[in-house]
Amino acid sequence: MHHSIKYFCLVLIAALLFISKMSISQVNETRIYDIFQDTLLIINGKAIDSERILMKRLQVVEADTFEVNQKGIKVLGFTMTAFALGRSIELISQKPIFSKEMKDEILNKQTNFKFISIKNINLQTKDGRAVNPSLETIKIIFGN
Amino acid sequence: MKVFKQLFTVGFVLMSLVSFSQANDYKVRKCFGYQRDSCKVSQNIYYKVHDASRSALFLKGQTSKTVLTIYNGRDYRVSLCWAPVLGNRILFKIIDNETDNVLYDNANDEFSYDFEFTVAQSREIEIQVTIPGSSDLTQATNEDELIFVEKDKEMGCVGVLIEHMITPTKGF
Amino acid sequence: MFKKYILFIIIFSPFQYNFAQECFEYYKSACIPKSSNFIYTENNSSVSFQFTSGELKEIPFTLILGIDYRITLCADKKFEDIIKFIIRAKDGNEIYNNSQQNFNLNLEFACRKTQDVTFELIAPEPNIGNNDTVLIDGCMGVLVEEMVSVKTGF
Repeated sequence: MHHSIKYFCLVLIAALLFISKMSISQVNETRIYDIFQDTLLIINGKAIDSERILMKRLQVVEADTFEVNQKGIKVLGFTMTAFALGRSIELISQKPIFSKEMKDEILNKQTNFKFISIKNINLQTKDGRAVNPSLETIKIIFGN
Repeated sequence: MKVFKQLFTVGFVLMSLVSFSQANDYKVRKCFGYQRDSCKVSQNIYYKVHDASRSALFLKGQTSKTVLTIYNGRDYRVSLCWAPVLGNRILFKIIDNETDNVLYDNANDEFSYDFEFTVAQSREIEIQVTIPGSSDLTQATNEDELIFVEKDKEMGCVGVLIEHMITPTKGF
Repeated sequence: MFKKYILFIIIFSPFQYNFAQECFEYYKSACIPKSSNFIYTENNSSVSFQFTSGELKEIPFTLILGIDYRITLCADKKFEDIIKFIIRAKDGNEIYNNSQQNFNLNLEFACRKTQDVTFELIAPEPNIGNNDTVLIDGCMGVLVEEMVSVKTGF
């Protein structure tokens, strides 16, 4: 009995120390969004449920029309930004697809953007009402 | 079995103590290894941690920089992590050490905590970190005055994790 | 057994203490600084003493460049935490006065030069009633702690 208490106390102390350690480094944590409750963008069949997502360049440029997981909501347009060392771009699409210029930049071997951000996502319901997506900005990090 | 159980417990407690002291230790080792313990590594398994990664104790309102030589044909990822006491965003810039041109400013990139890039030309860069806010210690000018600083509210660790790999050529 | 009992009573009898003894190392039990990530060590100038309404107590001290200080003042409840604390430079200038900061009793500071100063502690004035003046007597503690200033930035 005595040993069990000692064992329990030691494990409790260790657990508390771990929790303390965790609590000091939570600044960068990202929230995972709910595919049923939230309004999420679908790119190439994949619902983007996190602020950051790892995708292959080809997966991104081959993406068909952007969709939304909630019925009756469509994408009217969006802005794509990208940053490389000493160069940044901001391109606007008025359609629910990556424009040719965007695709060219994604595949640009010289600049080799390692990620793009999609923001200002313009969503609309069937009756013309504007809707905000749950994720205001999505960062797509290229796996290759 | 009993011995094994006790060894496991003691080992677990010691490991917890070691990891705790490394991450939250302003007392003796002052933020030593903070970037290793607290910064998120890339999901890309080809990245390796660069020796120039470092950590330091920062004060609100403080700006400090560290120099890094980057090489052509390599990809780098610079990511920051910091103690919550310093706020929910910190500023960082990458500056060309020779020309002083700002090559990246996270203020234009939604205050992103990381930046990944490919290097087309070897050069020396400065990674400049600025903590928003202010502290008497960073603003004091008069030699006679006392500088009131509540360390636990105004100071915290910042880690700069640098990862690198050879630029992948396949894929597109 | 009876002798031991008598001895116990004598040793722990509250009547045998006078105020001076009661205040002995009062700061050690009463001045508890907030928990911190930074380690301060106690400076020898930490002191406890008996304090009376309207009294001024002066403690000479040398502030050293490169050392950070934490001062915790603690007084008997009767003083209701209204203790005036002034740090005065050698030339007479006030370099700190807590009455401008709601009688703050916890200070953490660094200095930009080595200098001799005086810590002045002033107890609140006595309550003057219609017929008599009520003096408050109690213990006062000053815990002075120090640490080598930490390097910040890369």
